[in-house]
Amino acid sequence: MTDAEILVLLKDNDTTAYRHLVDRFGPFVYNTVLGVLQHPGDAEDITQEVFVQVFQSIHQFKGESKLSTWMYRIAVTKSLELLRSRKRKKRFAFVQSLTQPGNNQLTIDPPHFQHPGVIMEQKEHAQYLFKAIEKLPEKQKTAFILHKLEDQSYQEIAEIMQVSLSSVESLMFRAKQQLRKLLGDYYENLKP
Amino acid sequence: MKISNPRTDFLIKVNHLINMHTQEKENWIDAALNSLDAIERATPPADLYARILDRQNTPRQNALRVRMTPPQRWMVAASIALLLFVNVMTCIKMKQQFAVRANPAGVFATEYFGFLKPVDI
Repeated sequence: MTDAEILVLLKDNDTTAYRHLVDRFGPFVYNTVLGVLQHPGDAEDITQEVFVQVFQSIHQFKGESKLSTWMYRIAVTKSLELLRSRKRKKRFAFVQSLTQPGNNQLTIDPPHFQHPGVIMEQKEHAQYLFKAIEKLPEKQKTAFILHKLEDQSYQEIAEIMQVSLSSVESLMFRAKQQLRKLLGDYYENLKP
Repeated sequence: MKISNPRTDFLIKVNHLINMHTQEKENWIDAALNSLDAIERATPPADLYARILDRQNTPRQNALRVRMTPPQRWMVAASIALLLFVNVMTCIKMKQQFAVRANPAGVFATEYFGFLKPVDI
């Protein structure tokens, strides 16, 4: 089924089209969201939200971009929103912990994330890489994840992020530089 | 026959160790950066579609919603308008006062005639 056919059926509220959309784009969306959030539970939750929003706003989709581009955009936006809300909660918890010494549950960082798709030999390295990715600024993180995890070209990333191709190149260059620096620090701590 | 200098030998060894460490570090960083090269896509739970339908049919209860009646909306709009009006008027009045003070003759005239006639001149 082509994108155009799916769209026509979705706009007619065809339930088989919904099912088809989830089967086809579910793994793309989940993998991207998981890469950004680095938490399987939150990734499942946001993936569901992405599809609910897609179903609700499919009539507003004008078809100016590819369906997959639009879905990636929603997935990235929703993931980043959750990250921002997490940061706010963390800040709030920190302020609370200053006034209430016993209450510091939210300031504890979760354990390092392990992506289920990483091959066994690379698991340790990947763990450090994900730890470093978490520290990247939002745009660099998005570009890097879409490229490395979803194998998207720079042109496709530019369309998803609604920026120019040169901006994506610059984001990727800065992301790699920043990751090298962060990984270098981890190495120094790992092997003093 | 080459005469070895202990200090030079020591420095060469240190330099060699630093180079080895740097090389090892760069290799480790490269390995970490390339660790996602053969990554496979993570798969969502098998019942994803059922969960989406569930979520779609049950709206979230914990979302923060502010519901306002039309009169309340007008009250808020009127309050904002009043606040803006007061601020603008204060700015205009302050500007006029500064303009009078900047002109000494104006200040003198205001004070002098103000003393003689409290009413407007």
